[in-house]
Amino acid sequence: MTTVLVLAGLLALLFAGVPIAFALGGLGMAMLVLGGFSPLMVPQGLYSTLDNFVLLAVPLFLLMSNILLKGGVGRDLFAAVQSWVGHWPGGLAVATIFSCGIFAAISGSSVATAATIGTVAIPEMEQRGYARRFILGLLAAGGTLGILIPPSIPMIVYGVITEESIIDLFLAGIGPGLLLIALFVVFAVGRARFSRDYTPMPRAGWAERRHATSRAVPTFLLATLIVGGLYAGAFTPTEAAAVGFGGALILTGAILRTLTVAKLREAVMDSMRTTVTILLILAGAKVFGKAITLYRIPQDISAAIVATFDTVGPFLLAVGAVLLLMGLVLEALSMLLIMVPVLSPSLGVLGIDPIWFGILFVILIECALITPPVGLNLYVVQAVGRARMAEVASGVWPFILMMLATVFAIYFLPDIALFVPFGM
Amino acid sequence: MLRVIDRIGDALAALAAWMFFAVGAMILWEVIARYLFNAPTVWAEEMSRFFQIWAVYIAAASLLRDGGLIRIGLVVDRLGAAARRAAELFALACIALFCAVAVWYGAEIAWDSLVTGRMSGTMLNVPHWMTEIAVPLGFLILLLQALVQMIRVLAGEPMRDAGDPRRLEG
Repeated sequence: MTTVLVLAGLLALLFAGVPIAFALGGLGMAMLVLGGFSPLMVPQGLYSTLDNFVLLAVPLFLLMSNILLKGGVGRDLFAAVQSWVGHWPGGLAVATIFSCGIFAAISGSSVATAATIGTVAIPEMEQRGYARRFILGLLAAGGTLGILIPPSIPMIVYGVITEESIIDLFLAGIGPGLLLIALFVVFAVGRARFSRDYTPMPRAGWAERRHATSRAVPTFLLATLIVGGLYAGAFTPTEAAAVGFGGALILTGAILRTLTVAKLREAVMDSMRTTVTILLILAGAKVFGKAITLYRIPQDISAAIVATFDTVGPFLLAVGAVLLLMGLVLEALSMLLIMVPVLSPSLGVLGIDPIWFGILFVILIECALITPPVGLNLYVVQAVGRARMAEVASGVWPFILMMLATVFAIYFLPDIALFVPFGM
Repeated sequence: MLRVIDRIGDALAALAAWMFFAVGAMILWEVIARYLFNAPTVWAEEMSRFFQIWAVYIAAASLLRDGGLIRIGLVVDRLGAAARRAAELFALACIALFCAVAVWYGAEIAWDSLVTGRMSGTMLNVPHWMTEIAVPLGFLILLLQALVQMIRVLAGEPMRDAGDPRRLEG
């Protein structure tokens, strides 16, 4: 009963337009006061959330990707990949997918990935006669690679809430990320083979390839350094982010010489805004999390789950259904912060690997990011491509199906995710 | 008068932005010091956590004003003008109430640490109140900004869509 009331209250606050951080924090505060608990827990929760070294990876990864963005790295990356695969059937689409995949390795956000690659790729593909619906769907879906391939802000948040290793989560995202890239590429090439609505690109010459590639190589090396350093255990995620930040400054400031003081200032301000938005939500969720734990809501839900589901499969199906439903109205971070604390007690009881679950969760969140009517990537692609929401929405469904197929593949073959961090 | 609060908020947000930049420099230095000079610092880890606490809370006010805090516009953006103003006032009132609690009890915690002389007991052994005070101070500025925004809504200034997707992350 309490659970239903709390959920109704939360939805009411969210739909009334209260910023998510304060809907969570405010409801948590009200519950603490009504339940006769000390309101001192509010500032304590706010303080302890941010007194956390691991979370510093969020601002630092954002700084890194924003500096690279302002330095025009997205354009270089796309040009380089295009010079290699542009002449394939559906070559520009393939180049877009690969660029999203590579950019994902320097950015922890799907919105930034979709916006960066979209700005360059959408006009090019339109010129070559690709169908608009396909272009927009492709970008919205390609952007979601940003949070599956490390680094990933939702995975940092998931790791902080569940106290799981963020490095393991990062590494477990690589396999599924590559699988999705492969599926998208097969789809793009197959589609181009059976369609007459685009003109193939001429094959790029070696001089062009060499020139385009040489500008993209430093970015590629930086991405390799970060992922490799995490894999080898040389850095913690926060340190990897700081190294990436330093690398981004050197790369755009000294090597490519594209970063100006004004652009750096923009990058620093943008990173601050996103960081503060995310971390405030996290702090609000902490207060909410304390309150629901004192009301024993996660424990009750966990008991109900264990009583209902005795096997993992139906449980995951139910979680997936709930997430897709929530994704119709909520955005990714709030879904994660509301669902994970409630679900994580059940994981242990059902014997579910939290890293594996985290990856499935992130892919389902990705689906939510591109299911209409609410989906951040939809908004971004809509804005970048100057399109109507209906166009974007009709273009994304094949990609949603491919993502759901990936979820099933990882369910039946957990090693797709777990092989990289843990081996066979 | 209202502008003064705006300016303070914006100045603090700019300060916060460069504090995150400084955090990047500190941790980068820590990595270099450890791997290249084999001499890790004692201060980088702790200082950067303190910077994070301060930076996030002092920047909140500026984000409230420029619509940077994520909210769900699905319902409110479709309301008529009067209902929208009411929703906006309600949202701001919720924020203000939350801030008031955070300021009051946050100050109590910091004050308690100050009079009892509690130290962090870490490498740097800083007095606890120096970081704890960030919570009540940050939320005090946010409280003032929320009140300013309420005055603006009541005075009939135009509002932006809640579903404005700028800078959202996921």
